[in-house]
Amino acid sequence: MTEAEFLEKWALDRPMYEAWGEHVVANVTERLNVAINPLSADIFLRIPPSSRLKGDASFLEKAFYRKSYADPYNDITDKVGVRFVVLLGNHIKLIEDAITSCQDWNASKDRDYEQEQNENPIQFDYAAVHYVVRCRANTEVGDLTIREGTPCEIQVKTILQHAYSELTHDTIYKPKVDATPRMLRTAAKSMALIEATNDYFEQVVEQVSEVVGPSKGLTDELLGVFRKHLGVEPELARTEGLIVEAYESEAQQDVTERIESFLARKPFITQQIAERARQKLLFRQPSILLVYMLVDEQPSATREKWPLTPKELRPIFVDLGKAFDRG
Amino acid sequence: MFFENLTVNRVIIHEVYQRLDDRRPVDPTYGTQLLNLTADAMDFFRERIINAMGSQSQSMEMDILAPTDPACALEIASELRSADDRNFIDTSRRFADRLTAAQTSRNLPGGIVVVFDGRAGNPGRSIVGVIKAETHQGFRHTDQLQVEYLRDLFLGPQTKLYKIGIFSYSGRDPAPELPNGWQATVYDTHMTRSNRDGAAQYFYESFLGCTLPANGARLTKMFFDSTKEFINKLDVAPEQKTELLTGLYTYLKIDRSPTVELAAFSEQYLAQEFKDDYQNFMVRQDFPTNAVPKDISDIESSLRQRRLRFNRNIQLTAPPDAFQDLIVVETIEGEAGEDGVAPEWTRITIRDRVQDQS
Repeated sequence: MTEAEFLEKWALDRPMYEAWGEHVVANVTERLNVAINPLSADIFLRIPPSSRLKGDASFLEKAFYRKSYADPYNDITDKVGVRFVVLLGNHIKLIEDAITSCQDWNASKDRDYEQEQNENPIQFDYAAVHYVVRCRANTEVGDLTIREGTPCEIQVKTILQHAYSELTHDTIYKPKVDATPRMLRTAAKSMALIEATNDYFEQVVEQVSEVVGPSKGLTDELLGVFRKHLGVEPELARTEGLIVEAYESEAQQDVTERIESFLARKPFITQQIAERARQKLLFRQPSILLVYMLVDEQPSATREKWPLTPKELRPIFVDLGKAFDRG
Repeated sequence: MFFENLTVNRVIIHEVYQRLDDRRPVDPTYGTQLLNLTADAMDFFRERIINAMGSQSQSMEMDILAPTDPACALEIASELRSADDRNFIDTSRRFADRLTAAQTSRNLPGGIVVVFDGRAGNPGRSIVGVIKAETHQGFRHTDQLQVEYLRDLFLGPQTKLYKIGIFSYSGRDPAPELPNGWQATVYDTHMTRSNRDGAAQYFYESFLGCTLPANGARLTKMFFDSTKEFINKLDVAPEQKTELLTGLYTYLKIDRSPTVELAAFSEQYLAQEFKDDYQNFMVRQDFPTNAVPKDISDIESSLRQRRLRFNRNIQLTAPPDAFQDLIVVETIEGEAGEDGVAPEWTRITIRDRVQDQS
């Protein structure tokens, strides 16, 4: 094929590749959302994922000048590329699972930085995970058909790795730059630091999670009970944290059983909370169930430890038929 | 009667007046329509009722005088329970009439009579309630920070300005002969303060047709015995127990309130950490969570003397007030025995010299 024919074919195929790239982004994002629920991919992914078509010049260069391919047009797998950027190294696996579990394509891992690091442990260089996903069968996307076998390259990196690759891409790996040993070593030093920084980032997240863990566990448990008994969707706000902090010492292992037993004894409470929840955010916090139960068991102590204003606690006393100002 | 799960259905108000100088009654002014309260207003109304009638409140379950006379308050309540809206409005006036008749004393002020029905308790029971609320004055501010002087506010936070009587029906169908099937709970701060003049009785007796329950002596004794048991079981130093027991004796013997109430005792004498445990303990003994009439006739002899008992028949007895004023009890560490363990001894200081020996 001549260069002109090459570009002609590419021009024809471009819409299909574009659609394929978008399809890949949508699919992986959807799977990711399910995996990290109730978090959302919008926040989890640090840079919005988008698909990028290979530029004409760079395509021609790669096909005809830089490497020798038997069938350049088809062998070049990054005609469309997608990039997912996460915060920590240990998040990459989540994206990988989303990629490999999809039935719309065959995925093959093209590059794996962990493997490369194992093979060359003292080298500090570009790090990322690359996949090539090929369409499994002719797939309809909108009014286009993606041909079976159409490839898409997926790069998965941490935001720090991304910073490194952006830097080196624009500098020492630019074609006209003749990278000196000093430049290469400086870049390597920065990558070593990036790896160390990632480890520290992961440690911070782990240490915070140890401290926050039990409270979060309590909220998760209460979320389950809330959803089960009330017909209203809970809505976590900062108040939840305040309430949990105030009363978590009262909630032991069997908090779910205790609350369910309390609701069974006083079924009207479920209705009351549901009604109040429609008007007030406070009653959409899962821990409000814990508060109701504790007011019933220990009104005086619960009133003492209430972290918000008395006015907000009074309706709970009224529902349970207890005078607020006495005792 | 527990007032959890309180819902209020219909509400209407009338106004009653103080008697004239020559003791003639003044006819009430009647409301003509059911009230239409906003959600916030209804929440406020329910809160006032619960603060007065809920558990840990000063309300008291009372006996309904039987046989009932045809014009009595319970009769009115019974009719209201099954009345449609029109009849509710008309029949509720009879409460205002009856209250006017009952307020024979010239110095009893007028006020607003609130009549309402609804449900309370778990399982739910029908309730019919009547509130007499004296009006009070207050200021109101507008958005422009101007001020209005209002003279006809009622059901404000001052609890002595209102009295409430609620009749609750146990739900049997067909309805048995009155007063069977009904219970009465009354809130009247005059009942719990130390004055016992006739003015306190007009509301619960002449107006509502109720009487102090007969189980005062039994319940007071139960209060005394159970609270003593609770205090003795507490995991605190013996001195603290002594102090708490002193509190109990004071509350029963010296305090002039005509009622005995868990919340009142707890508020005055128990530290925060014990309040809930005390409440739960007494509830398990089936002691009411609101007020009961105080009657110490069954425990008079026990109240006459405090007693500390030791081994080998050593005893120290004293009347409660002398105990409080002249005796100090302390726990001290005694001399270690052969096993090296120091036993617990007691140091008793009596602020007096020996008057007589035998």
